[in-house]
Amino acid sequence: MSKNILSGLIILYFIITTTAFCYAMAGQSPSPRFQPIIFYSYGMMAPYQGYETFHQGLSAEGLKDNGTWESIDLDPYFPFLHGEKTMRSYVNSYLLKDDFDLHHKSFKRMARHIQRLEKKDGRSFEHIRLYWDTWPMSPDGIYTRLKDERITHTLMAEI
Amino acid sequence: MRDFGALLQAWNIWWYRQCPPHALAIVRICVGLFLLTYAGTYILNIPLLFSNEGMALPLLADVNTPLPTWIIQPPSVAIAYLIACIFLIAIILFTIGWYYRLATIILIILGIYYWQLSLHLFATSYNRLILFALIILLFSGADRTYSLRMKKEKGAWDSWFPISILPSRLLAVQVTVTYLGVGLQKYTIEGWQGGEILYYSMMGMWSTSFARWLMQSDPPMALFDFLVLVTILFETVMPFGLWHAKTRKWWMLGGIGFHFFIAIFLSIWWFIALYPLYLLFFVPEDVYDWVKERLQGRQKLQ
Repeated sequence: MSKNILSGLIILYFIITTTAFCYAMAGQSPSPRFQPIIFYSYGMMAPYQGYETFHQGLSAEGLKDNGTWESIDLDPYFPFLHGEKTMRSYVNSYLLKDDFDLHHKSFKRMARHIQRLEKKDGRSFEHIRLYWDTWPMSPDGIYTRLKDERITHTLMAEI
Repeated sequence: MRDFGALLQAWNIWWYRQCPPHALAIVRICVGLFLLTYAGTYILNIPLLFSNEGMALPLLADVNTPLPTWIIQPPSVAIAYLIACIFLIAIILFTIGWYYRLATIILIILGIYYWQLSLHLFATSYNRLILFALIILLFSGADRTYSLRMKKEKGAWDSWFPISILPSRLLAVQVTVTYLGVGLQKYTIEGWQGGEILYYSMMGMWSTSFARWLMQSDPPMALFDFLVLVTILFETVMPFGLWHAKTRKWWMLGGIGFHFFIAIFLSIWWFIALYPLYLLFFVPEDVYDWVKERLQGRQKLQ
């Protein structure tokens, strides 16, 4: 490839990176046409944005034939470190694009997956509910205060 | 005009001169080993994560797109295993430098495929950095030494051909921009104006046993204020330090320690992928001399 073309590509790289940097520092949104590539570049320099003063996580319950709701262990469905498990179970990808409809649909899809996999393991549920829970932090462990001191219990999907 | 000519010459030397491929070959091997480790964390759960019998939530599942369904929707378990095998073989070929370009193209395509299928749920800076690095490495000639290609073509693993310095420069610049961008943003992000972000993170979703052990001793908030300040200063100054020949090694060690402690206390281990890229801040000829000296020393010992 000729040096002129390569120089053009290097300058283009710098324009994209600088625009992403300006977006990061000043929050100035780039033109929608170029957003995917600018956001990709920004994604390579995006810091950990903030923090919560509570724990959060997904929980599920299923309605059995006898009419009782039973808690479902989600650990086998999210075999990751706790942070990755929390991120994945919140399906953040759609929220980043402010698409609340797709965010809601993905929780329904997740509930259907759980219903199918539970049935495969011999636990049949007529209905599944997914909740997003928050609970206080403790230096003794992530789940220490979940059982007795849950702060919120928000229904995300029911099938 | 003479100044412009000198500037153009400096530009050409900095971006386009030919150099030994050793630094980039070491990066190739390390990135390959990192990818093997990274893939290893998912490999036991292929049906669950990447097949139609698991929990896959494809990014484009409910979106209007011209892409065919067989790309968007998760495949059968057998196909998911087949794709994973191809991915693993590509990583191995990439690492040993055999059919390098083909392997890199497969890694890029399957990387995007896995992103659409599952990794978008865990959208992180390092996933983007790795994909960017693979795209640059595709055109780099990083298989021009310490590779099976050289062994087959020239009869020795350490035979080599010169390569363009451009890919090394681009990767080094991106590492610079990443650290600088992350560091500078923290001066303005509200959450980074005190130690609370670290205090709560040490008990949060990323906390490890080490972090809990630290938090159980009830350390003062001043400690976290100090650590946050050090972090921001380090991330802002380090990218310049890496370009500074005299202190480069110390900044490298600082970066290694920085990501090591993040991995130990906050279980965010994936940024160790940046370690080998530090090598690209060195003059490639110096890396070659260093490696040559070590290898000659070893041969003498034998």
